[in-house]
Amino acid sequence: MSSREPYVLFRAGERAYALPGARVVEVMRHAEVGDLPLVDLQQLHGGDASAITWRTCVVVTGVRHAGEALLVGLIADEARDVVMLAADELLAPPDFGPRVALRYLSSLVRDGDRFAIVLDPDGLVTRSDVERMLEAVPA
Amino acid sequence: MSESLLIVISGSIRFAIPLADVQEILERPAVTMLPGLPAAIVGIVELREHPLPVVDPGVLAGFRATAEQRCVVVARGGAFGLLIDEVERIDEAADDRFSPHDERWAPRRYDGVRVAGLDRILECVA
Repeated sequence: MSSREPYVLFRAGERAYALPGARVVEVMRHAEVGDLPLVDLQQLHGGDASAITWRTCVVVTGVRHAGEALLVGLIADEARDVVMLAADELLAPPDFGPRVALRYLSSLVRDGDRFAIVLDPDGLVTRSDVERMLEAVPA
Repeated sequence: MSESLLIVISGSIRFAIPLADVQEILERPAVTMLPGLPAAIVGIVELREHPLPVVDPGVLAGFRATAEQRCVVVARGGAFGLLIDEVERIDEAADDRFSPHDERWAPRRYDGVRVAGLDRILECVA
């Protein structure tokens, strides 16, 4: 039997996302977040800013950029589940042609009749995003 | 000599796809939209448990994306699909009814209808 690894499934807007458990520090309620810089996936991905409700969660992960590392919180409308996935359930993204690169996209995993986006946290934000967030974090 | 063509409707355009380049047609597949894709790629659908990018030919032809399309024509080899509303008919097209056409995604015309060149579709997506 192939080994399985945990993934945290969450929803932001209409989209389903997953992060490897090894990259998730914790999942907390939005109301309990202190000074953590937040990444709004809905807004980052071309939508409106997330509406914050009592169900809003924050998935805390570490991002690395050129030697800089910091913890950020991804805003999730709903943290859905932790699922155990085998390597062959993680599907390589298809070729979108020579001019398209989706840096945030690590792989895809089936989620009902659609797909959930398995994120590469390091590709999610740019180096300048990280620098801006580092400046905003109180020393 | 002749060639079988699938004549299809997609949003505001009618165009042709060489039948020899078609692997299969998916009816009403669920589309997952991925952020950051160019307008000509509407998202991905599942083809035998694997993700398949879906291209809107109307956008390649310079029209706005439309939400009406219902079927996906899978290119032979399974690298991508084309979003269409419906297959209008299949024509047996004689060679002398083709003429060259100067859109990159559609290098030929058949009786005035653009004929998609499936080998170059993904290169045209920007």
